[in-house]
Amino acid sequence: MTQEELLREFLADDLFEEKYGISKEMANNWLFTDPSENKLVVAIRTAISKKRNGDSIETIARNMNLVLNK
Amino acid sequence: MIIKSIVLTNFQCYFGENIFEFKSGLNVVIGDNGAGKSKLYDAFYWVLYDKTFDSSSRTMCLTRDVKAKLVSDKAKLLCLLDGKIETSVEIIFSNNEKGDEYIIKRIYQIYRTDTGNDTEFKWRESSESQLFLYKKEKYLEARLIKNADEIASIIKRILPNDIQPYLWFQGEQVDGLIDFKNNSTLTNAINVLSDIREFDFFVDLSKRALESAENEFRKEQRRLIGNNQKSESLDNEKKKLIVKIERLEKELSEHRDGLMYAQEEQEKLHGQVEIAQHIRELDQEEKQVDAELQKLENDLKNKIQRVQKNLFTKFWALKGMESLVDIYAKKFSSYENKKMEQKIEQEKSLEIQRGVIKKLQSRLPINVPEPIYIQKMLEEEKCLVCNREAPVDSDPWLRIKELLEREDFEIQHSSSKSVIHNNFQDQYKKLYQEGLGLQMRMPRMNNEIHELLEDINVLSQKKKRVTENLERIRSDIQELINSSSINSPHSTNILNAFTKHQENIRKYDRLIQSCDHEMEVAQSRIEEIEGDFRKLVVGQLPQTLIDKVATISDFRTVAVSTRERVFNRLILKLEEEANKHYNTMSAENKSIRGRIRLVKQLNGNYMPKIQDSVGQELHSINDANIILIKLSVIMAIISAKKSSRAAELYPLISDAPTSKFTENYTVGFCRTVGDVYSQSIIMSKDFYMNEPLLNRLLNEVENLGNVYIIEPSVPEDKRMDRNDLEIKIIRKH
Repeated sequence: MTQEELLREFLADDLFEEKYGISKEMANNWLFTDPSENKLVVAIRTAISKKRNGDSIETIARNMNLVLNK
Repeated sequence: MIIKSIVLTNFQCYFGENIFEFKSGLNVVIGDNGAGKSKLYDAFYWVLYDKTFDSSSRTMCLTRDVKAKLVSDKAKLLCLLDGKIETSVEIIFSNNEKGDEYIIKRIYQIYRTDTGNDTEFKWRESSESQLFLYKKEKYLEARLIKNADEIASIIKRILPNDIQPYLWFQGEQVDGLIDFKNNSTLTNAINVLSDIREFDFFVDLSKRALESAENEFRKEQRRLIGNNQKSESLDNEKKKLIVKIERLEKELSEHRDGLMYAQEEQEKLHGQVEIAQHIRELDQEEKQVDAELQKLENDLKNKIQRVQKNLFTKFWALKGMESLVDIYAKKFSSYENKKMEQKIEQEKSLEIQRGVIKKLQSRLPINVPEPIYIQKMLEEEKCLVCNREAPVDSDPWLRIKELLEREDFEIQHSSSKSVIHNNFQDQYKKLYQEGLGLQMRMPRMNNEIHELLEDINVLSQKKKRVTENLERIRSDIQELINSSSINSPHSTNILNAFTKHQENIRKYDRLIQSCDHEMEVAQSRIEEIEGDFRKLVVGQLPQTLIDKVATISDFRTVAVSTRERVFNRLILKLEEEANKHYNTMSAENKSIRGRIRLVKQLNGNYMPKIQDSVGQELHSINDANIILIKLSVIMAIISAKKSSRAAELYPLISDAPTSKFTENYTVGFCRTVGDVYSQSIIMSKDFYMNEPLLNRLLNEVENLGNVYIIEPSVPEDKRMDRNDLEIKIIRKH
């Protein structure tokens, strides 16, 4: 699966539609590089790209925490 | 990555250099038993894993365990004094997209050490084989990789260990890939071969990230809490509750396993329990009917005994003798009359006698005078009463003597009376009277006999019906036993086991409910504690921290639910794909095949089941179908992969995958394999000496790569040993 396909799978979750107003259609057209202010999207994108870099779970968890501290 | 070629040199039955080249698509190596198909499979395996299959122990053995057995016997025979034999296998893997190639070569050597005078050759065997890996990048010369870690990493990339069992297997191993008795094997296969592990990673990551964020949150919370004692107490309670929830989760999982086991076992018995129940009911009915029959037989015996008894006690034996009674009555009447007449005669005679006696009695009473005096009077010739003379033979003397004879008459009379002692009149009369009584009783006796005989008849009829019923029950039982192979004791065992599983299902249901309830209570208390914590906080927690925990908590929710959604979608896709493959492979087989359903078990695992058109599970599927289902599911996992990475990157290599199939599955199997895998190498006996089937392979299967026929140089029946053995490789496509 590509990073984009992965991100779209997560964005297709009902929570995004119900809580953040990201519709299924929007999710389906989302590009990995699309800018977003949504912290959850940012966190997931961080997780995906760090995983693709081969980082360990601990490192990625730490990174997500750091990203969300901003 | 595809396999471009394999070169086997002096490897087992492959004497000298033997080259097979392969293309994308389905490559088939055809050969009879003993032609070298399995050795070719071994060669692939040996290069990557340094192991070959030992047919005697049926295990994979390392080179150091088999040593010179790896080397061709013909090569050994032709080896000169002090000579060396090199056994090697070389495989070239090619990455079509990048144009890179990996050349992997494994070598094993033995050295001849005998002097030539020995009766047999002697060898010095290397203890280990050597592996050489070359990487050839586009336009560059091949480069030998020396770093062991790099070699291991490349081999892992060529074929990861966890994927290998699903892509490189012998026919007999298919059964174990998805074990119908172990419901985690399909889940394992899905986890290994599909993208779901990617989502598992994010589920784990979200858990870790949330723990980390919550720790940070609690740390900050504790810093701002005024009442440390209270917070410590709440914290301890929360920790205990968390431990409790973990324990309950474990128990819940055990109870679910127990419930699932009980349900599965009960399900297995489902087909038998109805028959067992029927047999038990028939057994009980047989006992009842048998008891009824026993009672009837006893009643009948008693009635018959009563008849026999009544023959004499109630004179039933005389039944039909009524006319004899009449005859007897007549005869008795005649006897009575005659007797009466005799009596009258006798009376008359007696009357006369009585007259005489009376006459005599008018002069002197009997015994007066007494005979002794009479005798004296006769002797003295004188009447002692009147004192007159009575000379001998005179009239007075004769009169006196007459008195003595009177005595004789009395004696004579008495003697005539004694004749009456032989009179049977009383007995005759009794018989007559009894005859009359019998005649009187006869109508009643008739009724009694009629009633008793009627009873006997009814009982006999009933006995006949009950006996027939008993025979029918016994025949039904026998029929059931014959058709189901379940006998009476077995049926009891089945019903007992079924009841036991039913009880266990109820028990585990209760335990699960109880655990669920306890967990809910504990969870709810944890939420209360969290609320209490918040109340204890003095001051404001940083908003960034609150937002972070909320965001990561959302990430956790999204990761878990996405994983579930993707998995459920995958299951549906797998079902669809598995059925597509199953239908293609079994298209030419006319047997009922049903539809593959992946059924979720209580513990969350999935099991393939075959169901009919109304969703009923089909049991007693034959071995070939089971293998087909397993292969269909494995192929489905690969073909359903969105990116098809496993199918694209890793070739399928299988020795005799269709060994359990009949011919009408083989072409379907090849078509499916050709569709699913970008490259596959199949060793098969099915097409050997079977021109029609071979022609179908060559003409009907798309994506066909190279097809080889391998034959031993010496036919097996003319081969005493392997000293002359080499393999002829004939390219057919």
